[in-house]
Amino acid sequence: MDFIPGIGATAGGLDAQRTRLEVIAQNLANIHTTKTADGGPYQRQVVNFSEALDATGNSSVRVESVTRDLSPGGARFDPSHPHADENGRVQMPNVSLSHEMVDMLSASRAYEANLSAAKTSRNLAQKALEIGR
Amino acid sequence: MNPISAAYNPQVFTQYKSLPPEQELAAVGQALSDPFKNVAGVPSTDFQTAFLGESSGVKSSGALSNSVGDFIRDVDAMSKRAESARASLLSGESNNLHQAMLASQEAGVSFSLMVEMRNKVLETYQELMRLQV
Repeated sequence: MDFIPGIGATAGGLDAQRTRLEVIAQNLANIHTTKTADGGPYQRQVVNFSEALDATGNSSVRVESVTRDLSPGGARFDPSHPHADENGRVQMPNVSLSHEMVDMLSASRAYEANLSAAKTSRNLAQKALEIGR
Repeated sequence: MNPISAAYNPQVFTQYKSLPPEQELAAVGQALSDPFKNVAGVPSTDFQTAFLGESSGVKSSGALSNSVGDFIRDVDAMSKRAESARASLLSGESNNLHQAMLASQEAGVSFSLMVEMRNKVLETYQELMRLQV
Protein backbone atom coordinates (compact mmCIF):
# COMPACT_ATOMS: atom_id res chain seq x y z
CA MET A 1 0.00 0.00 0.00
CA ASP A 2 1.24 3.44 -0.89
CA PHE A 3 -0.51 5.84 1.46
CA ILE A 4 1.66 8.86 0.92
CA PRO A 5 2.03 9.75 -2.77
CA GLY A 6 5.58 10.05 -4.08
CA ILE A 7 7.19 8.88 -0.88
CA GLY A 8 9.56 6.56 -2.73
CA ALA A 9 10.88 9.36 -4.93
CA THR A 10 11.19 11.66 -1.91
CA ALA A 11 13.11 9.03 0.05
CA GLY A 12 15.53 8.62 -2.88
CA GLY A 13 16.01 12.37 -3.13
CA LEU A 14 16.65 12.74 0.59
CA ASP A 15 19.13 9.89 0.48
CA ALA A 16 20.96 11.40 -2.50
CA GLN A 17 21.22 14.86 -0.96
CA ARG A 18 22.34 13.39 2.33
CA THR A 19 25.19 11.59 0.56
CA ARG A 20 26.07 14.84 -1.20
CA LEU A 21 26.23 16.69 2.11
CA GLU A 22 28.36 13.91 3.55
CA VAL A 23 30.84 14.21 0.68
CA ILE A 24 30.93 18.02 1.02
CA ALA A 25 31.70 17.58 4.71
CA GLN A 26 34.57 15.25 3.78
CA ASN A 27 35.89 17.81 1.30
CA LEU A 28 35.75 20.56 3.91
CA ALA A 29 37.41 18.39 6.52
CA ASN A 30 40.28 17.67 4.13
CA ILE A 31 40.72 21.21 2.91
CA HIS A 32 44.37 21.25 4.14
CA THR A 33 45.20 17.56 3.80
CA THR A 34 48.47 17.32 1.89
CA LYS A 35 48.99 13.58 2.15
CA THR A 36 46.58 10.72 1.47
CA ALA A 37 46.90 6.94 1.30
CA ASP A 38 47.65 7.28 -2.44
CA GLY A 39 50.50 9.68 -1.83
CA GLY A 40 49.57 13.11 -3.25
CA PRO A 41 47.29 15.73 -1.70
CA TYR A 42 43.61 15.17 -1.07
CA GLN A 43 41.46 15.41 -4.18
CA ARG A 44 38.00 16.88 -3.99
CA GLN A 45 35.19 14.28 -4.27
CA VAL A 46 32.14 14.84 -6.45
CA VAL A 47 28.83 12.96 -6.18
CA ASN A 48 27.14 11.88 -9.42
CA PHE A 49 23.44 11.15 -9.48
CA SER A 50 21.46 9.02 -11.89
CA GLU A 51 17.77 8.30 -12.31
CA ALA A 52 16.45 5.19 -10.58
CA LEU A 53 13.24 3.59 -11.84
CA ASP A 54 11.30 1.32 -9.49
CA ALA A 55 9.18 -1.70 -10.50
CA THR A 56 6.14 0.48 -11.24
CA GLY A 57 8.12 2.90 -13.42
CA ASN A 58 8.20 5.69 -10.85
CA SER A 59 11.32 7.75 -11.09
CA SER A 60 13.62 8.48 -8.20
CA VAL A 61 17.28 9.28 -7.85
CA ARG A 62 20.26 7.31 -6.67
CA VAL A 63 23.92 8.05 -6.13
CA GLU A 64 25.62 6.52 -9.14
CA SER A 65 29.20 7.15 -8.08
CA VAL A 66 31.48 9.35 -6.08
CA THR A 67 34.35 10.44 -8.30
CA ARG A 68 37.46 12.52 -7.75
CA ASP A 69 37.95 15.96 -9.13
CA LEU A 70 41.29 15.54 -10.94
CA SER A 71 41.99 19.24 -11.47
CA PRO A 72 45.30 20.31 -9.89
CA GLY A 73 45.32 22.18 -6.62
CA GLY A 74 47.65 25.03 -5.86
CA ALA A 75 51.17 24.66 -4.54
CA ARG A 76 52.64 26.48 -1.59
CA PHE A 77 56.31 27.20 -0.94
CA ASP A 78 57.11 25.80 2.51
CA PRO A 79 60.47 23.96 2.64
CA SER A 80 60.02 23.06 6.31
CA HIS A 81 56.86 21.11 5.60
CA PRO A 82 57.39 17.31 5.80
CA HIS A 83 55.38 16.81 2.59
CA ALA A 84 57.37 19.35 0.59
CA ASP A 85 59.11 18.16 -2.59
CA GLU A 86 62.80 18.79 -3.40
CA ASN A 87 61.99 22.35 -4.54
CA GLY A 88 60.31 23.09 -1.20
CA ARG A 89 56.84 23.17 -2.70
CA VAL A 90 53.84 21.55 -1.00
CA GLN A 91 50.98 20.40 -3.26
CA MET A 92 47.68 21.59 -1.73
CA PRO A 93 44.27 19.91 -2.19
CA ASN A 94 42.00 21.25 -4.95
CA VAL A 95 39.22 21.97 -2.43
CA SER A 96 37.93 25.50 -2.63
CA LEU A 97 36.11 26.77 0.45
CA SER A 98 33.69 29.04 -1.39
CA HIS A 99 32.90 26.32 -3.92
CA GLU A 100 32.07 23.84 -1.17
CA MET A 101 29.96 26.36 0.73
CA VAL A 102 27.86 27.05 -2.38
CA ASP A 103 27.49 23.30 -2.97
CA MET A 104 26.48 22.82 0.64
CA LEU A 105 23.79 25.49 0.40
CA SER A 106 22.45 23.90 -2.75
CA ALA A 107 22.42 20.42 -1.16
CA SER A 108 20.72 21.67 1.96
CA ARG A 109 18.07 23.54 -0.06
CA ALA A 110 17.44 20.44 -2.18
CA TYR A 111 17.08 18.36 0.99
CA GLU A 112 14.61 20.88 2.37
CA ALA A 113 12.65 20.81 -0.89
CA ASN A 114 12.35 17.03 -0.63
CA LEU A 115 11.27 17.35 2.99
CA SER A 116 8.54 19.80 2.13
CA ALA A 117 7.38 17.50 -0.68
CA ALA A 118 7.08 14.73 1.92
CA LYS A 119 5.24 17.04 4.29
CA THR A 120 2.84 18.21 1.59
CA SER A 121 1.96 14.71 0.46
CA ARG A 122 1.45 13.64 4.07
CA ASN A 123 -0.92 16.57 4.52
CA LEU A 124 -2.74 15.58 1.33
CA ALA A 125 -3.26 12.07 2.64
CA GLN A 126 -4.57 13.45 5.93
CA LYS A 127 -6.92 15.84 4.15
CA ALA A 128 -8.21 12.93 2.07
CA LEU A 129 -9.01 11.06 5.29
CA GLU A 130 -11.17 14.00 6.36
CA ILE A 131 -13.62 13.14 3.56
CA GLY A 132 -15.16 10.65 5.96
CA ARG A 133 -15.84 13.23 8.66
CA MET B 1 -35.30 -14.86 10.35
CA ASN B 2 -35.97 -11.18 10.08
CA PRO B 3 -32.85 -9.46 8.72
CA ILE B 4 -33.28 -6.61 11.14
CA SER B 5 -33.59 -8.84 14.19
CA ALA B 6 -30.33 -10.47 13.16
CA ALA B 7 -28.68 -7.07 13.28
CA TYR B 8 -30.09 -6.69 16.77
CA ASN B 9 -28.53 -9.98 17.80
CA PRO B 10 -27.33 -9.12 21.32
CA GLN B 11 -24.72 -11.88 21.17
CA VAL B 12 -22.82 -10.14 18.41
CA PHE B 13 -23.00 -6.89 20.30
CA THR B 14 -21.67 -8.24 23.62
CA GLN B 15 -19.11 -10.25 21.68
CA TYR B 16 -17.61 -7.20 20.02
CA LYS B 17 -17.36 -5.32 23.32
CA SER B 18 -14.94 -7.83 24.80
CA LEU B 19 -12.87 -8.57 21.69
CA PRO B 20 -9.43 -7.23 20.73
CA PRO B 21 -9.62 -4.47 18.09
CA GLU B 22 -8.84 -6.74 15.17
CA GLN B 23 -11.71 -9.10 15.96
CA GLU B 24 -13.92 -6.24 17.03
CA LEU B 25 -14.08 -4.86 13.50
CA ALA B 26 -14.48 -8.37 12.09
CA ALA B 27 -17.44 -8.99 14.43
CA VAL B 28 -19.09 -5.73 13.44
CA GLY B 29 -18.47 -6.57 9.78
CA GLN B 30 -20.09 -9.95 10.32
CA ALA B 31 -23.06 -8.43 12.10
CA LEU B 32 -23.49 -6.12 9.14
CA SER B 33 -23.17 -8.83 6.52
CA ASP B 34 -25.06 -11.65 8.23
CA PRO B 35 -28.55 -10.14 8.04
CA PHE B 36 -28.45 -10.23 4.26
CA LYS B 37 -27.92 -13.98 4.33
CA ASN B 38 -31.37 -14.59 5.68
CA VAL B 39 -33.37 -12.54 3.20
CA ALA B 40 -35.39 -15.13 1.28
CA GLY B 41 -36.16 -14.64 -2.37
CA VAL B 42 -33.90 -11.64 -2.79
CA PRO B 43 -31.83 -12.08 -5.96
CA SER B 44 -28.08 -12.07 -5.47
CA THR B 45 -26.79 -8.60 -6.17
CA ASP B 46 -23.28 -7.25 -6.39
CA PHE B 47 -23.83 -5.57 -3.07
CA GLN B 48 -24.87 -8.82 -1.48
CA THR B 49 -21.94 -10.81 -2.87
CA ALA B 50 -19.58 -8.10 -1.76
CA PHE B 51 -20.80 -8.52 1.79
CA LEU B 52 -21.24 -12.29 1.79
CA GLY B 53 -18.38 -13.45 -0.38
CA GLU B 54 -18.23 -17.06 -1.52
CA SER B 55 -18.95 -18.59 1.87
CA SER B 56 -22.36 -19.72 3.06
CA GLY B 57 -23.76 -20.38 6.51
CA VAL B 58 -24.58 -17.92 9.24
CA LYS B 59 -21.48 -18.58 11.36
CA SER B 60 -18.88 -17.98 8.64
CA SER B 61 -17.66 -14.42 8.28
CA GLY B 62 -18.39 -12.49 5.11
CA ALA B 63 -16.02 -10.91 2.64
CA LEU B 64 -16.31 -7.61 4.51
CA SER B 65 -14.95 -8.99 7.76
CA ASN B 66 -12.20 -10.84 5.85
CA SER B 67 -11.08 -7.71 4.06
CA VAL B 68 -11.23 -5.76 7.30
CA GLY B 69 -8.97 -8.36 8.90
CA ASP B 70 -6.53 -8.22 5.98
CA PHE B 71 -6.51 -4.45 6.16
CA ILE B 72 -5.72 -4.45 9.87
CA ARG B 73 -2.88 -6.88 9.28
CA ASP B 74 -1.48 -4.55 6.58
CA VAL B 75 -1.64 -1.58 8.95
CA ASP B 76 0.04 -3.64 11.64
CA ALA B 77 2.81 -4.68 9.24
CA MET B 78 3.37 -1.04 8.33
CA SER B 79 3.73 0.03 11.95
CA LYS B 80 6.09 -2.89 12.57
CA ARG B 81 8.21 -1.69 9.65
CA ALA B 82 8.30 1.81 11.15
CA GLU B 83 9.27 0.34 14.50
CA SER B 84 12.13 -1.70 13.00
CA ALA B 85 13.38 1.36 11.08
CA ARG B 86 13.41 3.32 14.34
CA ALA B 87 15.15 0.49 16.19
CA SER B 88 17.87 0.10 13.54
CA LEU B 89 18.44 3.85 13.58
CA LEU B 90 18.79 3.98 17.35
CA SER B 91 21.02 0.91 17.51
CA GLY B 92 23.32 2.49 14.94
CA GLU B 93 22.68 -0.20 12.30
CA SER B 94 21.50 2.44 9.85
CA ASN B 95 21.98 6.19 9.79
CA ASN B 96 18.92 6.93 7.72
CA LEU B 97 16.99 9.40 9.84
CA HIS B 98 14.56 10.31 7.09
CA GLN B 99 13.73 6.68 6.27
CA ALA B 100 12.65 6.10 9.85
CA MET B 101 10.58 9.31 9.85
CA LEU B 102 8.95 8.52 6.50
CA ALA B 103 8.11 4.99 7.64
CA SER B 104 6.55 6.28 10.84
CA GLN B 105 4.57 8.92 8.93
CA GLU B 106 3.30 6.23 6.58
CA ALA B 107 2.33 4.05 9.51
CA GLY B 108 0.56 7.02 11.11
CA VAL B 109 -1.46 7.77 7.99
CA SER B 110 -2.44 4.13 7.52
CA PHE B 111 -3.45 3.93 11.18
CA SER B 112 -5.69 6.97 10.89
CA LEU B 113 -7.21 5.42 7.76
CA MET B 114 -7.97 2.34 9.85
CA VAL B 115 -9.56 4.46 12.57
CA GLU B 116 -11.69 6.26 9.97
CA MET B 117 -12.78 2.90 8.57
CA ARG B 118 -13.68 1.65 12.02
CA ASN B 119 -15.73 4.80 12.70
CA LYS B 120 -17.53 4.35 9.40
CA VAL B 121 -18.34 0.68 10.05
CA LEU B 122 -19.52 1.40 13.61
CA GLU B 123 -21.62 4.30 12.34
CA THR B 124 -23.29 1.98 9.83
CA TYR B 125 -23.86 -0.58 12.56
CA GLN B 126 -25.43 1.98 14.87
CA GLU B 127 -27.59 3.25 12.00
CA LEU B 128 -28.90 -0.31 11.61
CA MET B 129 -29.50 -0.56 15.34
CA ARG B 130 -31.68 2.54 15.24
CA LEU B 131 -33.93 1.14 12.50
CA GLN B 132 -37.60 1.03 13.50
CA VAL B 133 -39.14 -2.44 13.17
